[in-house]
Amino acid sequence: MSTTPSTTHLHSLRYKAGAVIRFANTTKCWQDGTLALDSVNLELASGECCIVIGPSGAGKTTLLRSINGLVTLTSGSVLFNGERVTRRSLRRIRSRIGMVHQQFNLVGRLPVMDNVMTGMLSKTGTLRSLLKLFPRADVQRACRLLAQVGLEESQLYRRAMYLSGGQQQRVAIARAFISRPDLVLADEPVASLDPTTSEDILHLVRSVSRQTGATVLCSLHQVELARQFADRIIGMRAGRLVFDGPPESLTDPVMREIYGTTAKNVAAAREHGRDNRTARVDEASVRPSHVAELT
Amino acid sequence: MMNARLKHNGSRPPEEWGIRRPFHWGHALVICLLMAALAYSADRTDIGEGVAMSTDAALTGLANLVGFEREPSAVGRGISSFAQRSWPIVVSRERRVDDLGRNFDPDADMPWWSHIETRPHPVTGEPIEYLVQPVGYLTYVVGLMVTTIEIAIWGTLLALFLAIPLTYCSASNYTPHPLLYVLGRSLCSLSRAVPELISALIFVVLFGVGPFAGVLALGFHTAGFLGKFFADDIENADRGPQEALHCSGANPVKVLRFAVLPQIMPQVFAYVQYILERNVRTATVLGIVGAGGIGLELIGQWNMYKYGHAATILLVIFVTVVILEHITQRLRRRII
Ligand SMILES: Nc1ncnc2c1ncn2[C@@H]1O[C@H](COP(=O)(O)OP(=O)(O)OP(=O)(O)O)[C@@H](O)[C@H]1O
Ligand SMILES: [Mg+2]
Repeated sequence: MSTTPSTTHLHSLRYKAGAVIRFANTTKCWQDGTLALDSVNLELASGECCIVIGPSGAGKTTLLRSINGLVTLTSGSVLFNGERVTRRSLRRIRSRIGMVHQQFNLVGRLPVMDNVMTGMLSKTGTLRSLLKLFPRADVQRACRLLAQVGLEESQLYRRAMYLSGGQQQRVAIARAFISRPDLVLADEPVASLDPTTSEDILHLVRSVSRQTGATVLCSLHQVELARQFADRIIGMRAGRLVFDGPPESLTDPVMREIYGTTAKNVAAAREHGRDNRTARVDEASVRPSHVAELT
Repeated sequence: MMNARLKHNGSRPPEEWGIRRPFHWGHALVICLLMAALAYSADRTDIGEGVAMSTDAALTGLANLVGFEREPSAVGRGISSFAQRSWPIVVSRERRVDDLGRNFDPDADMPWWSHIETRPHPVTGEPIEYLVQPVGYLTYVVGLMVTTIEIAIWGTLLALFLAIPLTYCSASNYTPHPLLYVLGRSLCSLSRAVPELISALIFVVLFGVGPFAGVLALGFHTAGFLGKFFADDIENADRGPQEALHCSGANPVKVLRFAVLPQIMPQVFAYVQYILERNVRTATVLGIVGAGGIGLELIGQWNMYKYGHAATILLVIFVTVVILEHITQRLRRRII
């Protein structure tokens, strides 16, 4: 029942399982000449929780979005389960990837239930989905997932726009995981949430992905949270990977390399982490029980 | 410290920043030009004369009110003559029994709430039987109004039906093909460009006099409105949820159904309500060109100078529009 994942163990498993995602010399150069990805080579093993950190503009979002075709590459390629991501394979590949967005991106006027079911659209026939006639098994799965992320039956038919940010992100997690994805992408999933909720949300992503065996690729600005939840941390700077390793090897010199040479930045990042830690101590007792249940 | 950094970057201190004034001489020039154009156009559209006549009428009315004698104005004379001739409004209906045909049997064929009156002929004095229906004309007009509303409803349904493919083609982010986008947008503009009275004339020629021509005219005209409104709304809908659904591998039709339709539903209701209301108002005049409804009766009575009948019709139209507005307003509040 420990709340911190045992990271070293999973990290050592990394190269035993097959690669879910493989970046091969992936390069993205925007029209204005910004090199957002500079021949990135990276492999993610199945079941791994990998967190990308790096200063603003480092290319974290671009890295994540290049996987499901939201960014067209300048050169190089991205392989998903050994298959190259192309225009033709895109829809099939997308149906195997769940995504948690920073701004949740729920459909505000739809009830919670329907929002979760939209994660299953790629696996439901067009006519069935137009009439919202989802298979019973899927609906029950949605309910289980919602309970798992800590929503109650009374919220099932509330419109998503009336939920709090944290609740919306929980619904978004249920939506991302309902299709049993091989990979879950999360681009700053907790950027607009308070420290306690952030931690809860990351806990959820972590525990649900463990249960379903999904690989997680997540970008974060909170280094301390990254240390806490990642099996593997990737440091990016100006489109290049400058660090790749387990949380323990994320030392101060490495931090300086990722975030810049000014000591101020590192201090600020540390400060940020300390804030989170104190918040955790303060609010450990009030954390909802479901989080403990899951881990 | 802030200031120091700004200066360091070579910017001016905030006290010296250039502030734009909300108005400048360019605005004044534009206003002057607009005024000149309006003045020129007012001359061409007899606005001056109309204003003079209305002022005259208002002054006369005011003078009469205060007790002064003033020569009656042209507009005032018109109003009073129309008011005199249209009052009292005609509610009842009288027909000579002789005109009803030989087969009319006073015991079996009497219409609802009616009686037979015998009055002497005003000239010859011989007794004549009349079939009198005390509210006969009013019920007849209300019946026509119901037909008119039916025309409007069917026209709106037709418009909705036609608007679905038009919308799908005319929303730039969901159109199946760029050419279909151009086609859809053009059809929308075309259908809005042809006035209903004109298209009704054509449909009367094609399908004969009657309500169906009216339904077609309304449907084709308002489909363009709905198509354009819906397509614009789809284009402006929040992109976040749409992207999220695209990312999960849903095809465009499913994205439309789940990420766009729920978002635009309130506007869709508002537009359909507006279109239904305006179709009722328009359907009242479509009868003038023979496309069914209350308009035919109105223009007929008007042309025979029967202003009492016309006043009844106008009153029924007015009351209907007011009631309809109330009902749709309530419905909308409940649905949204
Ligand atoms: N649509 C775009 N057009 C042009 N340049 C872009 C676009 N999107 C991103 N960039 C540029 O690519 C670089 C990487 O951006 P990206 O959004 O991936 O950074 P990030 O690491 O996610 O930053 P943040 O932490 O602020 O979210 C930046 O320099 C950015 O200006
Ligand atoms: Mg980003």
